Amino acid sequence: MADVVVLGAGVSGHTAALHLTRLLGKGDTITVVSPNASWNWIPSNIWVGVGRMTKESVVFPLAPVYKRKGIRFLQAKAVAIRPEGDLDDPRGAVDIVHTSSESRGTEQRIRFDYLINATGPQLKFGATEGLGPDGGHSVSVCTADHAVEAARALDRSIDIMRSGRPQTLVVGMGHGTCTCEGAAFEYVFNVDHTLREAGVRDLARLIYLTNEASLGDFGVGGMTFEDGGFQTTSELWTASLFRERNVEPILGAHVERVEPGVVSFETLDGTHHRLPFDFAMLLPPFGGVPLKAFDRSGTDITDTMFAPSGFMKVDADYSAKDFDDWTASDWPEAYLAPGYSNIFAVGIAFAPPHQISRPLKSVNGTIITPSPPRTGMPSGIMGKTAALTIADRIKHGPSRKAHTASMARMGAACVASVGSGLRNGSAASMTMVPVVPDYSRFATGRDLKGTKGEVGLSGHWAKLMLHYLFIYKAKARFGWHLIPE
Amino acid sequence: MKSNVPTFATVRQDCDQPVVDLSAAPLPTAQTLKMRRSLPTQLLRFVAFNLRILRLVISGHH
Repeated sequence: MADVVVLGAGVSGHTAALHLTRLLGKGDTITVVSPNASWNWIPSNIWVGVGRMTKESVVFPLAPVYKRKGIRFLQAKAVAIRPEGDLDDPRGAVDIVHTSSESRGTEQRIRFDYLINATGPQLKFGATEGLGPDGGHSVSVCTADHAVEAARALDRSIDIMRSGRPQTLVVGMGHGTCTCEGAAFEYVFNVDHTLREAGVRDLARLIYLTNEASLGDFGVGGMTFEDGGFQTTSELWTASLFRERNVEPILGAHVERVEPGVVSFETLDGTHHRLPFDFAMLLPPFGGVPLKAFDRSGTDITDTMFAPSGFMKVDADYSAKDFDDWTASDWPEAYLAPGYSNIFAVGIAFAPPHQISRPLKSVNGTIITPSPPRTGMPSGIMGKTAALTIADRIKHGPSRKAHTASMARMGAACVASVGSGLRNGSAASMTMVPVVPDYSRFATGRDLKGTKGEVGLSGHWAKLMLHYLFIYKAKARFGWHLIPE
Repeated sequence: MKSNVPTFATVRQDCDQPVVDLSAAPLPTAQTLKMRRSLPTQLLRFVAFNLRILRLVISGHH
């Protein structure tokens, strides 16, 4: 009999919770704590952000799914972890504050035998002055609501262009340390397609503003592809796509400020620029959600359990090393918090040991480096891995060997799909394996058989298939567990 | 860890912003554009993509 608590109901936490329902016995309990009442298939927010899909197509309420699967759902945010419990009870505990309309603000302490921290990112719009839709001057596609607002803003720009007035549209990263460049790449690809469909592409200047030092970096240091008997790069592949679609890239940029109609940024050469815009979709940097940690006596151990970024430390090598000394083995395997056999951090919640792309600073000392992506497929795999370990340890004892899934072994896919219907779409699709390059196994850091970039209608079908499959899986419909993460 | 030296690093001189010059990037031929839309070709690519995804999934679990 054990109580498992999952913090967060995104891809990682939700996957972990669902797998636990089929892995654990009847006497065990699973509790999911999430401040949001709905689940969001975030990759499809891109389509919502250009008006191709409705918000309702990418979100659904969590409570009915959890009720059906026997999961206790608490709509609340976690504020503190007590891994050794408190003076009343040595079992681990989490302090939560309810966020539902019925019990908003109510504080509660819940106990756990096993804990999965899958709290996802804190969207740090505040890191850049004027960034974001809430009080700022740019839009975002990070949440379904943000994406709806982005689609409206894009529509307004298109209407203006239909009246014959040119517009400048900027898509990219709102800070030098952003991650998820793949999402911005997908969005710029979709905006270009939407403008063409509206018949106004010739009146639009479309700029891709990114913190990547080279095109096709995507926060993973770029990729090498094998194509037609030659090795080529994701940089050349992306450059070709952008040239074909007349997207103007600005590289190595740290956005300093967004004012109404103007984005100010610094580039790696130390120069400062002002870019006037009519529409700007700029993603925020991510940080860990604000979580404190206390030992049994109430002493603050936040700095021990969490990295300065707010992400939880796990079984990774966090020692300071030069970029040339970083290896694939620095990356975590089991996602276990150091010193604990029952606390995991998965998905965006775990602290990466370092970037994957080479860290760079401008000549003024401003850090302009993509952070490592760990969303989508890797997040789901980590969640399932933690669930497998927990189930084993509950059934066979806490010393049971942990399951592992290093990002230096697992792959990922990024599909920028545009269009509607099965005949008219297109997509730029990338797959890579592993996400973290391993030069001890592969000369190019990655397996060339699994690392590819291609453009075509089939990618559009794949993206549509993934959309429906993953929402089916997340709703825990019949056979859901047979659909891979 | 290793990193590549960017190929497309030159900024366009005819531009008001530090936009990278992509004039040396290859453009797809008419045949390539046709293949990207060809149903038989894309059906094969769809199967290949799914097999690749399956391989990624299997390689990620230990």
